Amino acid sequence: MLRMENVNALYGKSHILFDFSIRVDEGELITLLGRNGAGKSTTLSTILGLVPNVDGVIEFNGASLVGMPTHQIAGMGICLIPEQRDIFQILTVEENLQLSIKKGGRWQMSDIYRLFPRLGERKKNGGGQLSGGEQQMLAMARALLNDPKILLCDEPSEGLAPVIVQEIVSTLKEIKDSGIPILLVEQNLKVCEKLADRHYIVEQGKVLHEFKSEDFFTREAIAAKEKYLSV
Amino acid sequence: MTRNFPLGFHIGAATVFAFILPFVVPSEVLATEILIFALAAIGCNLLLGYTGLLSFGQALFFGAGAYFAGLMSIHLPFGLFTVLLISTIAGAAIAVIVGFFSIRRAGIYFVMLTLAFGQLGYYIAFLAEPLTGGEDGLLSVVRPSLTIPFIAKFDFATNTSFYYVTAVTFVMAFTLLQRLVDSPLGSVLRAIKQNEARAEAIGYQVRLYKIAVFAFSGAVTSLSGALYALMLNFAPLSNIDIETSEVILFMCVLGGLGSLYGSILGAVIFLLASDFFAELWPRWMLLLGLMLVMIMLYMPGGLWKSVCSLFARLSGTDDTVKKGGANG
Amino acid sequence: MIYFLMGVGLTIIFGMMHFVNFAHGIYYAIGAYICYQFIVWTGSFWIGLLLTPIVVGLLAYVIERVLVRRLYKMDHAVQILITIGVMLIIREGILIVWGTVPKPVSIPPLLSGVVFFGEFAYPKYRLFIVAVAAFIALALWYLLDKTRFGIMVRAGSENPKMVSLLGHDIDRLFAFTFVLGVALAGVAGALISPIRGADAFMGVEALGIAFVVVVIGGMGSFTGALIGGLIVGLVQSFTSGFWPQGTNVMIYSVMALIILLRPNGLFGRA
Ligand SMILES: Nc1ncnc2c1ncn2[C@@H]1O[C@H](COP(=O)(O)OP(=O)(O)O)[C@@H](O)[C@H]1O
Ligand SMILES: [Mg+2]
Repeated sequence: MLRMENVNALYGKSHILFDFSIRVDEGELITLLGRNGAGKSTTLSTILGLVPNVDGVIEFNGASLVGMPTHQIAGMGICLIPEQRDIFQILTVEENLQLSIKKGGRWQMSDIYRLFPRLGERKKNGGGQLSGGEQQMLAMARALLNDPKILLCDEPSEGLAPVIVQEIVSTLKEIKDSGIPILLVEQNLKVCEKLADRHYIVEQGKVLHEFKSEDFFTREAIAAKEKYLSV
Repeated sequence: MTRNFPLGFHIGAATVFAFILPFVVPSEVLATEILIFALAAIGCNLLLGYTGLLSFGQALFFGAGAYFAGLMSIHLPFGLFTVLLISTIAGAAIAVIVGFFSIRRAGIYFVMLTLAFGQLGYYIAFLAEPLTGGEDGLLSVVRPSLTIPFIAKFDFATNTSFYYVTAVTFVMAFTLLQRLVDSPLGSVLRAIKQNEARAEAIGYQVRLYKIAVFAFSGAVTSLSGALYALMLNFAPLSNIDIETSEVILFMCVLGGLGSLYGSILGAVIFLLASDFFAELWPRWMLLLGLMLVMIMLYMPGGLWKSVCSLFARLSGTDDTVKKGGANG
Repeated sequence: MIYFLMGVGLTIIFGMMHFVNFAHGIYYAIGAYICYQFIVWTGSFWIGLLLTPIVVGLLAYVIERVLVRRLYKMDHAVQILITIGVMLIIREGILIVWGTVPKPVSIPPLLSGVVFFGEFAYPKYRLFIVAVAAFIALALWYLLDKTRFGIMVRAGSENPKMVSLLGHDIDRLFAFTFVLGVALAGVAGALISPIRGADAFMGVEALGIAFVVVVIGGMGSFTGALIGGLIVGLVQSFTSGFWPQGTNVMIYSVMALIILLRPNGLFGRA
């Protein structure tokens, strides 16, 4: 469904991704694992056309994404929830959501407020007044309203309390069960183990290992995790 | 880097330049004007080119210098030296005040504050008619004479003699300021331009340095305004309007930011072009606008840098490359 | 209210793209000239007033495409210098096309004369300007506060990248915002033309005052532009009561004071 092959990406002169190849198939939840600075966020940005200098193959359902402007990539249903969540602080919760509604999308406002009752309570609040957990909910809600065909999610659990992480995990699971594939960047291994079909381990801009979830506890996988993820 | 050249080199270069100039441009008056505006552009360059401060108030210093010199020459029995000195000091004082308030804000608000002070100066000059002549300007400014006790007394009624006054002043001011930007103070200013937060973190009192650079800029700009009034025998209101600020700014950018030689080049080109086109095609400012856009987009180093790198390529020496590199 | 129209265009453009447009005053001047030209061609001020923003908007669109869009990411100082260049080009262009003598524009017959409020006579045309400006203010408020387009503009001013991640074309949004802001300056020029004629240099003072309006209100704030316009208007009429020549001194003093006391203006964000 989504495929990157031998992708090289540069910010100005600094080369970040090297011959980077991954793929996400229908209905899969894939994780990208790796230390800080390994290039995980850059991978997601590259897919969305946010990195200026890219070569290689990036395809979504057979259509090439390289060189396409960001809003068109997003318009194809590739939906990124950025690491910083990027909630619009000066808009209300409701306006944040309105901005991403798509006509005929699978999720509509009412579904969102059912899925995230907390957002319904706070819909008149400014985006800047939300807690970290609420911001993450809003970011996910916004993504769903955008009618995604695939979701790219960058460290959704980062900096959040365990209870809220639970909630996020179950939401991700729900999204996955509804058939939407997810490419998940996550530091929290427990989250990954629960959800993922496959894992990629990334280090210094290169994909070093790929494990199916059933192989994730083989000796080789454990060794790789110890070496590259500092667990 | 021009920083590597000894002071003598700069004195020599400026002297040679000032000596040749009247023989190559159409008139002595134009040559005088070039030196005067070169100083004004240098004043602007100290702020924008070295420290990264875009000031829209340069005309305030220029106009103030013109009024001070004009008024002193009319009402007070001072000699030339005193008149120029007091104008310079007064310009520095005004600049310190403007600087003190303006640098409390950064970015666009800073620009707006300098603009506000500039406009205030303009309207005050406009209203203070008994003193400044208002819209008509300050008329019948006389050139004061220079007396060396018991030896001689010079007056400067002819254009030639006044050119040499300007030339001597120019060489002195230029050398002094070149010395300034080559000094440790100059490096601090460049550090502030590059990254203000870092300069602050290293422990420089950024505010003090900024006020100081305002003082120097105000001083030299005011000096040039004073010379201008004496040259014209007249201090028009337009000296202090926003268009003058823009003209000074333009010469500075045209020649190149971060190099005093660039400012001289900017003044030369600008004034020669305006002299040339003024009769030929009154709408030549159209080209000026076009040039401003092109330079900012494609030659952010200005003409001086391009001249330097061209020269370096022709001669194949490393020396001039470095010289040009200092201006970037 | 003319100041509000000038200021609000400036502030919308700054708020959205962080673009400092020193050429804003010249669009005001060209608005006056284009209105004049339409009157020459058609004999109707109304046609002029209606078509001027469209023509000025088209001009703005071309300039945005060719030049301005490259400047959004640049330093404010560079933006200022380049837009001064643009200002010079257009100004000299005006002088080439229409000559150096300013063009007079007459008040449409429907609006000439005065209305009496008890003792006070007030020129009809000035009331008309206030009414048009108030209408535009209201329409803009509705557009920016209540519509999805308005949400997009506000979102774009905070985080353009995220707006495009939601599938909206941020380039187009920027272009549209620029055109809107410049067209407002054009309308202001057309509106003022029956009072002061069309003059290539009319933009200088107007730009100065527009900046005062925006800086007082806070760069980028719509409410700020409205309040700033009101304050400037009030200061002007107040000062002209006892010191008519000193209005500009007062206006710039008020601005300097406000910047110094409230760094981001009355309604500005940091
Ligand atoms: N905008 C940028 N410009 C230049 N370098 C960047 C930029 N963003 C990230 N990098 C660099 O790219 C590398 C990978 O960063 P990132 O993709 O954020 O890693 P991760 O998400 O795996 O922690 C880092 O070395 C980082 O410094
Ligand atoms: Mg990351």
